[in-house]
Amino acid sequence: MSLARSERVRLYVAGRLEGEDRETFEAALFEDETLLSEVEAEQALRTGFAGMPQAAVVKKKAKPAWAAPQRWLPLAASFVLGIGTAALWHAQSVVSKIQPNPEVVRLDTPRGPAGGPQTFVIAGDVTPVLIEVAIGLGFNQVFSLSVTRVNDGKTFSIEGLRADREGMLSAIVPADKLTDGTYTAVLRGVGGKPDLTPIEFGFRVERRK
Amino acid sequence: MPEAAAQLQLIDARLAARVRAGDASAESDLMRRFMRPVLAVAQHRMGHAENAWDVVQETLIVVLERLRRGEIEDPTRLAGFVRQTAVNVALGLLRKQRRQRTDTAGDDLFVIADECANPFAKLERAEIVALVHDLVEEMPVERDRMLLWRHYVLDEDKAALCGEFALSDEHFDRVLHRARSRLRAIAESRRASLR
Repeated sequence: MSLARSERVRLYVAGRLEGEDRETFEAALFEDETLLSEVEAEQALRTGFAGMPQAAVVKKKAKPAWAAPQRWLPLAASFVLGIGTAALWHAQSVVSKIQPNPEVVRLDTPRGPAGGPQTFVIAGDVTPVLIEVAIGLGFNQVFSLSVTRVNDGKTFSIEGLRADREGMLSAIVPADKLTDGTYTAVLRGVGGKPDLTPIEFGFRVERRK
Repeated sequence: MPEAAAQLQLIDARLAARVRAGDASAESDLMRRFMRPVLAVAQHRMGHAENAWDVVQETLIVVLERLRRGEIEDPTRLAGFVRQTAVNVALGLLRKQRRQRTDTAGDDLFVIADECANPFAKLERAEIVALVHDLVEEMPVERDRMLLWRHYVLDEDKAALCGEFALSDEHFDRVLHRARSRLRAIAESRRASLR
């Protein structure tokens, strides 16, 4: 399709073709399959964008390669398997893992890889830290995450978390909440379906000076 | 007249003759032939997909009844008659602010809508929003995402947007064209996966 035709599609759908121009254009829709397809897609674009907040366009979250969606499927499965057992999983320290994005604390498995806790190295000058938990798709509960520093028992909680379209819970916390040490984090879902058993994560934080 | 257009007129005239002769399959063929362009025109005139379906239904009923009674003088100009009927129906509905549904062609119409080449035809508004959201997620350049959003949501002028983003007219058109093509592909893929 020529750009001039594309421009006429835009003007027509935007309501900016009038009189004879509009009549001619509409007559062409009955004869030209390609033009009709362009108009249908343009109408869908206009409809779709009308329901979209600006934030969805501007604040596109860059996903690092290691955060591909399929990595989170085992965790979703963990949730489902845990229904009704009322058991907590406990972290075990065997293997450490350094995350490539130190400002992100991404809790991706309750037991940690190969049974060990994840270790997050966070730059000392970082103020906010993004905590993410991948729970998978299909969970419409409101979640709370309670984080406790094992060394001294200090606890902070994040309430009102909801999964985004990719099944990810995200919260920003001040970096001073996460000083050097070993932590447990308990995720609880409130209301909604399916019923969920609390899940406990273990992780370590190392602040880079 | 271009040869393709003349050919289409002959096809339409044959279709009209089949309907007039009582060929039941011709009525379905008529809906397949005209549903998409009538829906596009109706959506443009009504500004709302749900009301647009009322226009499609009413238009095709009127056309079918006129064809059955042999009241269309020049069947080679069937497309023009359908288009003008659609415009009149839309204007009538807008004036009267009423919705009118009949069962005469309803079931057939929606069966055909399932088959037709417009992957957006039967989608609810929320479903289209979700498709566009997926499209936006795929777009790597924030400038292009913002360009589309401001164009479609804020209805900002093309020349002003091109000036602000330092884009040529051609680049602006290419962004829109790619977005349309990709959205259609996403919708078709989604529809195929549901079948």
